[in-house]
Amino acid sequence: MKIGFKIAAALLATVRIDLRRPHPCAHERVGFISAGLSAVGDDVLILARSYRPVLDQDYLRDPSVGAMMGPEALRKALQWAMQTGAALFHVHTHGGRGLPDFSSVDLRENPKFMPDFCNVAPQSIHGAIVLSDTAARGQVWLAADRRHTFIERFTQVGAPIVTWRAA
Amino acid sequence: MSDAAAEIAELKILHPNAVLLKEGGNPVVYLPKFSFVANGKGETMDLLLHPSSHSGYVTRLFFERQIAGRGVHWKQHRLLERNWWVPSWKDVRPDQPWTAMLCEHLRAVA
Amino acid sequence: MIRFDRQSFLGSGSEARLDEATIGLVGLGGGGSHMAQQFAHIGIGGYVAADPDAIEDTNTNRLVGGTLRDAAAARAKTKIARRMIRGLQPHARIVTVCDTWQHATEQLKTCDIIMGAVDGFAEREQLERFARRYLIPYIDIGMDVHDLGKDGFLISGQIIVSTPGSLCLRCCGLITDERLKEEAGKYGAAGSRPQVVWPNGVLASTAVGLAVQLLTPWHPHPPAFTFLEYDGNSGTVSVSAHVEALKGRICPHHPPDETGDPFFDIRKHLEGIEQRPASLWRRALRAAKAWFDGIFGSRSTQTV
Repeated sequence: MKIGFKIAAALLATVRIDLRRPHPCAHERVGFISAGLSAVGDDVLILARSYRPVLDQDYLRDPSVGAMMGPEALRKALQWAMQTGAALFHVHTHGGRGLPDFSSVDLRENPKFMPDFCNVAPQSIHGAIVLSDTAARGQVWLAADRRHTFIERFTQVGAPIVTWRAA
Repeated sequence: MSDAAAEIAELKILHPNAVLLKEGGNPVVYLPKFSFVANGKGETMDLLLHPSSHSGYVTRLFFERQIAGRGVHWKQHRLLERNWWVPSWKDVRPDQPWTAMLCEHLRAVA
Repeated sequence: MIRFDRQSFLGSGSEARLDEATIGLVGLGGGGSHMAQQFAHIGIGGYVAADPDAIEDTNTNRLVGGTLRDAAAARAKTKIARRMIRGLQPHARIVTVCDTWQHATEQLKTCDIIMGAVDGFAEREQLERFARRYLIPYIDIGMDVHDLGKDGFLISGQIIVSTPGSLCLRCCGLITDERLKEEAGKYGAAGSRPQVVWPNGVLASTAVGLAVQLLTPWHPHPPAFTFLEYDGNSGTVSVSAHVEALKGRICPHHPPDETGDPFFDIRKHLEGIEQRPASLWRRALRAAKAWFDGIFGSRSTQTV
C-alpha cells in the first residue's frame, strides 16, 4: 500500500509562513494539518484541508528540544480529530532546501503521541510531517497498534504543480 | 433556512442511522439502507436527501439505484464520492421539515 | 536531433515531467479529441480518457482522429483516442473508459490535471467538484453558436482554469442556478447543437497550453485561475472581465474541508486488503517482516 499526500500550494505557503514566525521561548513552531482521505485502489491518498497552529501559550518550556507541545495543545488537536473525523498531521519545519529528515527528537517523540489520534479517530490515519523550504517528508500511523509507515509521494497543487518522492 | 441540527434530529426518529454531511457547503442527509415502498413493493437502499437547490431543482432526493417502472428522466449524479440516481421530480419546497420533504420526494417512485 | 528538442524551452526536466504526468480527458468529442492529440504530440505519458459514445457521421466534421471508416463501424471514441495517442506515444499509460466519467472516478483520481470537454452545466459542476475533492486542477472548455437572427451567428466559447484553493466555475458565473434550472427543464435533450472544428481547435489548444504551464516551468507565473473568452467572429481569445472583478475573492463553493471521501475508513480499507488471499510474494514479505520485527522489535502486530 502506497501513501500519497496532496496539498494546495496556497495552504502549504500559509503553513510555511506561520511556522517561520519566531516564538517567545521555543526554537521551532509546530501546528497541525487536517486532511481528508481516499482509497485509490489499494493505496491511500491524503488530501490536505486546513491548518491550525499550536498557540504560543500551549508550548512547554523545554530548551533541550526545538519545540514541545503542552498537554493543552495535544488536547485541542485530539478534539479536532475526534469532532471532525479528519486525518491530522503534526507539522513543523527544519528549513533549508531539499528533502528534510526527521530529527532524533522527532523520531523519539512522535510515536509517543501520534497513536492517541488513532484512538480518538480510528477511521482515519494520522501522522507527522517535517518540511523544508522546498519539500517535505511524512510519517503515517494507520492504527494505534501498528508501526508507522511513510508517505511515499507529495504533491503541491498550484501553479505550477510540484511533485516529489519522499520515501 | 431550517436548522440542520433540529432537522436531522427529527429524521433520526424516522431513521436512526441518518447522517448529516455536506457537499459544496450545503447540508445533505445520508440515509443508509432506508426502507420504503416503490411501485407497490418494498425497497431498501441508500438515499441522499439534498434539502437545498441542486442541478436546477429546489431540492432533490438521490437513490442508490434506479427503480424500474417508476420515476422519469433518471439521471446519474456524483455526490459525496458516490454515484447516485435521481428522477425528475420538481418543486419539492425547501421551506418544510426534512421529514415531509423526504416523503414528498418518495412520491416520485411510489 | 531528439524528438522533443524543439520544446526544450519548456524547461529542464520538462520532458520527464510531461512523461510522468497523467491527464484526465473527460469527453472525447470535438474538444476532447483535439486535446488528446495535442497532449500526445507534446509528450504527456499518462492518460485517463472517458467517453461513453461511439463516433457517428455527424461527428466527422470535427472529431480529430476519427475517420469515415470509424463512423461506419460505430467505433468508440475512446478507441479512436487510444489509437491516436499510441501513434505518437507508443509507451503511453492509457486507460480508457467507454462510459460516463462517473464510472471512471477510480482512474481519474490519479490524474494530475483533468480536462473537461463535456456537455451541460450540471456535468461541469459535478466534474469540477470531483476534481476539487481530489485537489486536481480542472480545465474546462466549451463552445456555442448563437443565432443572432438577421445579424447572423456568433461563435463563442470559454477556457477556464479552476485550481483547488482558487476561484471556480460558479465564482466566474459560468455555472448559475438559473442555467442549471433551464438545463434541467430540457431533461437532457440538448438537441443537435452547432459544432465546428476550428473553434474547438482554438479552445483545445489554449487549454493544452494552460495545462502545460501547470506542469512545466517555462512560464514564470502561470494562473491558478483564469477565465478566457473566445469570440469566434473576431477571432480573439481574451481574459474575461470577471477575472479582474473577482481578484482577491475567496471561493465559497468548494469548502476546503470537503476533500477526500467522506465514507473512507482505514479499518475497512485494510481489512479489504488483508482478507484477500495473499500472493506468494506477499507471504514472503510478511515472513521477512516478522523475522525483522522478531530481531529488532516492533509495535506492529500486522503487516501492511
